[in-house]
Amino acid sequence: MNDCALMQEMISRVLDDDLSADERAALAKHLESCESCRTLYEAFAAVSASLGEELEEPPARLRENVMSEIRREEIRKKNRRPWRAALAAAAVLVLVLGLRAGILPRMGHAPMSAAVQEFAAESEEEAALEEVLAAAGAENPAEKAVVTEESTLKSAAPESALYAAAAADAVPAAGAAAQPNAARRDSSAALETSPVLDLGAMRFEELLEKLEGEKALLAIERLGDRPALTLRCADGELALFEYDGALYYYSVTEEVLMRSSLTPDDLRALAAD
Amino acid sequence: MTQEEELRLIRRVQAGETEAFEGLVRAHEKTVYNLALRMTGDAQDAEDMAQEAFLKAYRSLGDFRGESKFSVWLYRIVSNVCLDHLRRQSRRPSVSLTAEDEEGEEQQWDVPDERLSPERLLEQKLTREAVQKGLRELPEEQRQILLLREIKGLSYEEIGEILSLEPGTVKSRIFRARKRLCAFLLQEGNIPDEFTSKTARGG
Repeated sequence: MNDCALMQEMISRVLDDDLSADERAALAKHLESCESCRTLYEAFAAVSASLGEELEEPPARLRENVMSEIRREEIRKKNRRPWRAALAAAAVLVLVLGLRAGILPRMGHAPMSAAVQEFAAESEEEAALEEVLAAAGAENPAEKAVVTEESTLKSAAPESALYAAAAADAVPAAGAAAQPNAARRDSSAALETSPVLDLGAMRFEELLEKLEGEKALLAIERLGDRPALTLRCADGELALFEYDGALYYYSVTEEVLMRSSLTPDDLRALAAD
Repeated sequence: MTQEEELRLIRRVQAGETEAFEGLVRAHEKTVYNLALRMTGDAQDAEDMAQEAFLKAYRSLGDFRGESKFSVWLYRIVSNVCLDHLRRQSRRPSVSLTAEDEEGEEQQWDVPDERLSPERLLEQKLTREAVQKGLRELPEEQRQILLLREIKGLSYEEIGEILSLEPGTVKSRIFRARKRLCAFLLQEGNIPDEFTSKTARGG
């Protein structure tokens, strides 16, 4: 009687490979003569086999849903945080526009305009900003490029040069990123401080249609940290990221990364409409 | 995937490479899904639970340091997600394990009749539906501990890590879960009452 109670626990453990050689021998001996325990053993083993072997394949959408939700979250994170690079790019843009408008002298360390100073003060990344501007004044061959017009953007921020140029045409000089509302909200600082293309009265939905976007097959981390351009509509803004010559944006309605087939010329045409 | 390969994947995700997480999902989705499936008994629930578990794992992957196996860490998340879900769903108040234990102990294993030969037991009882039905009868913690043992073959120590229990406790709970499940399966076979009496005979 007591034996069986002990043996029963051992039957459970033998299935889990938890018995010593001696214990296994004792159990085997007991099972030879005890039908009750033998039945228990068979039952335990059968349940174990049933639970362990008949594993179902999970549906493919399980993995797909997990990954797309993760990608969505990463995009949301990118749209929220102010990025050093975005601010640095904006600083360079301000510098160039300032040069073109004749506000800042061509050579040497340029004193910051009041608007830019205000912007810098409100920005968390003051150090990054100063770094870029200091580099602009240094006697360094790399920075000589900063001093000339469009080539400035190409050397400092090659990917967004094309789109920054598009923005530079459309946005009045010395105004752009130094607008007071540039640092209005931390959450949109990244969007505000990339070059902005104002589309006037166009509605957001219209813009999405015009972008002719398709679901993108691109891994989100390839997009880097800063939008190449922000499109400003009457009722919203859209951050555009550039990669490998194409434009990408995050569709809020479809909650996926989209790829647009538009070119910089198309964008300028949008603004002109 | 070896443990080193797995750790490398994890480091990549922690460093910001989101897409690397897919490798981890692929490696564990079958187990996670089946754990959830057996816990909840419902395919749609299982899918939801599995997705939720993976998302939780992704979000807190920064906390994973590699001291324990990733699977142990992951299954803890899955177990908790399923338990929470079941407790929320349950119409009865959640029964404490100790109360159930006392009840469970009373189910003695009885001397079988010839009608209860092992072969008969096997062919009659162990359709997947029957086992699933039996699982549902188990209190959630017993179900959980039995599944962790059976679906993934985790050791008593690993299960102990997942559930914060001593291996000895794990051992005895698994035993009680098995006994209870088998007793239920036998009953479902419409065994005459005399064989489910509480007297134990023989030895």
